[in-house]
Amino acid sequence: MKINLDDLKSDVSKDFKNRVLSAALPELQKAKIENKQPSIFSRLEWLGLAFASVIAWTLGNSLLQQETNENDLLEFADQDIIDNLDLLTTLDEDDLELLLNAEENDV
Amino acid sequence: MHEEDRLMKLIASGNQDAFNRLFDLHAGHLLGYATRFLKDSVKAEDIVQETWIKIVQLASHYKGQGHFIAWAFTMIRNQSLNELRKNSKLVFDDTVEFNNTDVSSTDPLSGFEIKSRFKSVAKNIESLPDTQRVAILLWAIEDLSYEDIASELNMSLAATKSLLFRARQTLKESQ
Repeated sequence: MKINLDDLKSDVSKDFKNRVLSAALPELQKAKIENKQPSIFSRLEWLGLAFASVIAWTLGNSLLQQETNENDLLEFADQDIIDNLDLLTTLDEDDLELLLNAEENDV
Repeated sequence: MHEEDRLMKLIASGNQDAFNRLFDLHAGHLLGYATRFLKDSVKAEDIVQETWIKIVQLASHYKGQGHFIAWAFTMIRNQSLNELRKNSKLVFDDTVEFNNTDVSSTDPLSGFEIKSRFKSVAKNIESLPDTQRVAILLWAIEDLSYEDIASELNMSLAATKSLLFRARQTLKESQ
């Protein structure tokens, strides 16, 4: 600036100041509301996130439970095979041959 | 951080006290600039009022970094130029001024001191024709280059230099 800023100054009357303040007030209130919006939105966002977490946890838990039950069933079904295998491995060669011959003869 | 920048942040969140403070700091400057630009105190007040409303509306986008007053002066200038154009007060006689080639090739305000005596020449500035007054204010207050003044006033660079040279001559003679 090629001048001293204060040399440019004009006197501002009280009336003019009041006029500007009352004209600017609605804009200031609007700015206040707009400024609050992000925090309200953020609160809603947190609520949504918490709700989604609860649902995800419940769903996850239920899926986990289902999987455990299926595993139990599988385990139970397989037990017969395992028992038979155990029996087969405890037999010596002669007994095994006898057993196989007996099965062949039955067929 | 500059006080104006801090106040603008508060204004962006609707703080009325910050607005009052900024108004007290700069309302006189903005009104002084608009009044000299328009030579009409009523219109100047209207434009300054509009500018303050815009200041609140644009506060959240403000990135002045210590240049609040320059930012606000730009708004005053744009609105004042619109007002002058609307009333056909900014009419340039480009042809007459363009012929003055001797002036256009030199620095029209070289050695022209205004800082120390702006107060004393302020009245004379107000008595300049609209185009000369606006050009000299853009140069003295907003520090615009001759190219920028020419662009703002939709004039050729040569015509702008000539205009400023004549403004300088008038101010010198009127002292």
